[in-house]
Amino acid sequence: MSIRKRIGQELAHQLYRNIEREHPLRQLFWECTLRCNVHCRHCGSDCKRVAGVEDMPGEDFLRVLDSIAKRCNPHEVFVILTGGEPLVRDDLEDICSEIYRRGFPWGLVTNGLYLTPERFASLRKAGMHTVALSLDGLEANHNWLRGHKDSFRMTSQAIDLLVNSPLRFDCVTCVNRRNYSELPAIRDFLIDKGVAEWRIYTIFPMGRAKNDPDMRLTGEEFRGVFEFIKQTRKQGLIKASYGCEGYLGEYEAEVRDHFFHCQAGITVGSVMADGAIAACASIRSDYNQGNIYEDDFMDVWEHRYQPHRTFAWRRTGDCADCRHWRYCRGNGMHLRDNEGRTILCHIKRLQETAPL
Amino acid sequence: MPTENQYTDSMSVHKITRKILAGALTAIGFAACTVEEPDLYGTPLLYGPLPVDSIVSDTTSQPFRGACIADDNQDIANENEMTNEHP
Repeated sequence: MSIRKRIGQELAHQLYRNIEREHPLRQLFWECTLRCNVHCRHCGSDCKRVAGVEDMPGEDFLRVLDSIAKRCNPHEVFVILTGGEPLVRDDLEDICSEIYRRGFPWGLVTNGLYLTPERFASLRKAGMHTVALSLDGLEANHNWLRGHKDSFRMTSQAIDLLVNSPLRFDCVTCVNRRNYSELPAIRDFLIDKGVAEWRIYTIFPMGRAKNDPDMRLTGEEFRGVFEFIKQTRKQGLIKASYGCEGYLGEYEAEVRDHFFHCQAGITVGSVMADGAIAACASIRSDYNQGNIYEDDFMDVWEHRYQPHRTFAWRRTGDCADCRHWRYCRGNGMHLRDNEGRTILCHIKRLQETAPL
Repeated sequence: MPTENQYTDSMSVHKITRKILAGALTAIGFAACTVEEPDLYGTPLLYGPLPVDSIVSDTTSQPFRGACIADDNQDIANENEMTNEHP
């Protein structure tokens, strides 16, 4: 690692420690439904078309925002609707208009199937700022992963809508064994469509993906993803980035704009479908910090979240004597099991192979 | 974290420190992410700055201006300007 990057990494470390001390809420995920219109093989939520948990009434979530607005500038707290598939809710625009009226910018994570021109217009009227759209391959692989024969066609139409709007959006791709080899073709497809930003994830062993061998990349493929992102960023035709998860050692600041920092519980909070107060929506429920039906969200935000804001407890197992600890600090919180053990170490996976 | 009016405390020690660290990072060619900058969103589902004319860049005094609001929804924007008074 170059001296410049070492210095940068240390500066970023100090910066992140500073942010952790203040832990200002900046992103609030709302798992507004567990219902979904597709059945993805890699779903971390294990959503169903008919969910076991009923959709949270909009007014319950709005009460959370009212609590936040008393203590934070709502303009600084970005609300992200996730699920399930948020667009299965018929009352979404009504709720989002209220979110917006309260001064909170908001965005949407969607598979795009229900993002018709009419729905898009109504969402924009409700103040929608950003969209993250899932695209997990070209037609065959995307439809295979999503379990829906029309998914690619409809997602493609949604991309056209977004490209022709002033909204900021990105496409999100989860790389698995099937779509790994078509990453260059997906890139070309997105560039042809006019997509400016592309976020790439490797799938972590959770939810349905946990026991699916098609989801787990080989060591060579795992490293290949980062080499591909590096190459794509160098090419400069689309801004490709690896998702937020995972300390990447030699690839730090190469495949993302920033050095790694898991912000769950530090700047990121979540309200889950059952009212649970969580950090990042991908983190196990063992780490939930309260429930909006019993606790005030901001009281929880200010006084709990110790597992997310302290790091010494994570320094066990492979982390105990790892030379990357200072900057990794136990990897992402969503990669911890119910007993606090890490379920995926990006550095270890990278060490399975030498650089290509 | 201050319990009230956090965002009016525009020059806290933490903020000043962040600015210095971010400046140093930028000076050696790295993207600097501070919570004052909208480019913090390196989180799982969304990231990146909001649309350029959104309110996040100025958190102290500007009325809420949703960048992507449709023209015919201007009444909501106006209502925000009138009623969304921040402490």
